[in-house]
Amino acid sequence: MNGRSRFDLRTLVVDAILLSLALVLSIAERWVPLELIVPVPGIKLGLANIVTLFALLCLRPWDALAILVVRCLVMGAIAGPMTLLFSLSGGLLAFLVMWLQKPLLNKVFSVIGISLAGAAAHNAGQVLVAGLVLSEPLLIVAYLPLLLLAGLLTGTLTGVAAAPVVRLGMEKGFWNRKLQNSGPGCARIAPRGKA
Amino acid sequence: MAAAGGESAAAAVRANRAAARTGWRQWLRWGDFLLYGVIAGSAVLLLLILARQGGAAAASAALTRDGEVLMTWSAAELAIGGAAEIDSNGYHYRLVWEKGRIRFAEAACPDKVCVQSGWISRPNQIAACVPGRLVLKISATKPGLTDPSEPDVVVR
Repeated sequence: MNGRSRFDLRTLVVDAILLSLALVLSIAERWVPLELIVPVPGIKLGLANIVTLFALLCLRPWDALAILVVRCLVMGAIAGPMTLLFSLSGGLLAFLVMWLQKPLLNKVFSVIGISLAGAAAHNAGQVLVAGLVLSEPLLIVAYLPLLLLAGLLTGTLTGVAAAPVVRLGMEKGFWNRKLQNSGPGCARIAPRGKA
Repeated sequence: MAAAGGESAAAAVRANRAAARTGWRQWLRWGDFLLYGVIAGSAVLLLLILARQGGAAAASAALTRDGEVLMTWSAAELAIGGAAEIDSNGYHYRLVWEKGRIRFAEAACPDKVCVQSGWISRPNQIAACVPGRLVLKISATKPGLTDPSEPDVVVR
């Protein structure tokens, strides 16, 4: 695995930083009263999806999944079990769809396209779970179109925000460079071109 | 010199703008446009199906929790107007109805999606609260059949 194990120190630190960022974005987006601008009940920007998208495209799927699941667990612990259920169902479905699209990046889909499908899958996952929890199929049919249309807007916004970061992450290749040990307990990143 | 500098700066701005335009075009792929079309198309199709099924029949409303009917309103009751308060799953709710429409006016639940749903009046419209496990639904009263809860004759 390019000279590093699944749980090496750098991966752990990078994942932890991205997890913190995802949590801050999740909390911050609760302060944005988006439903006042776009009158769709339950609409959210989905800013934390930028982090999932970056981790999925620039790191490994395993890192993206770990960041996603831990974020949902922490948000669930803060906001309650219903939030956990909704964010996990939507998040996992979005992750699955975006992971399936990953091999088609830059051939069929751009980062915006992947974000768009992720947002649609996230909304669909949440509304499916809500319909199942309340045993009300009409809920799915009534809310899904509104949330799909809202997802076009939010998915595009998060995709536009993620695209430059993803491009930079992929071009610079920082994340895939090998670690060089330069002393006991000390690790540094290999200079460019020597990786 | 200054004029030449100004011209080159303007040319740079133009070049940047042109690059930004082509950049955007290069950024999106054909699959993205397909996704926009498929998502928007399926959403509009679902909305049309819902609107068609709903029709323009007189509407009655029902509040349910886990399939159990807690309250019902006939079309006449919805038209008269009123308010009710209810507790469900540890949360307090206030419902308001008037002019044939009904809504969750206040809710003590965490996400307030039910309140954000606003007024509902047409058949197949729904407002739900997952934390409180409440579903407020509008149903069509079939034409030709009178609502059994409605009075047969109103004497004024």
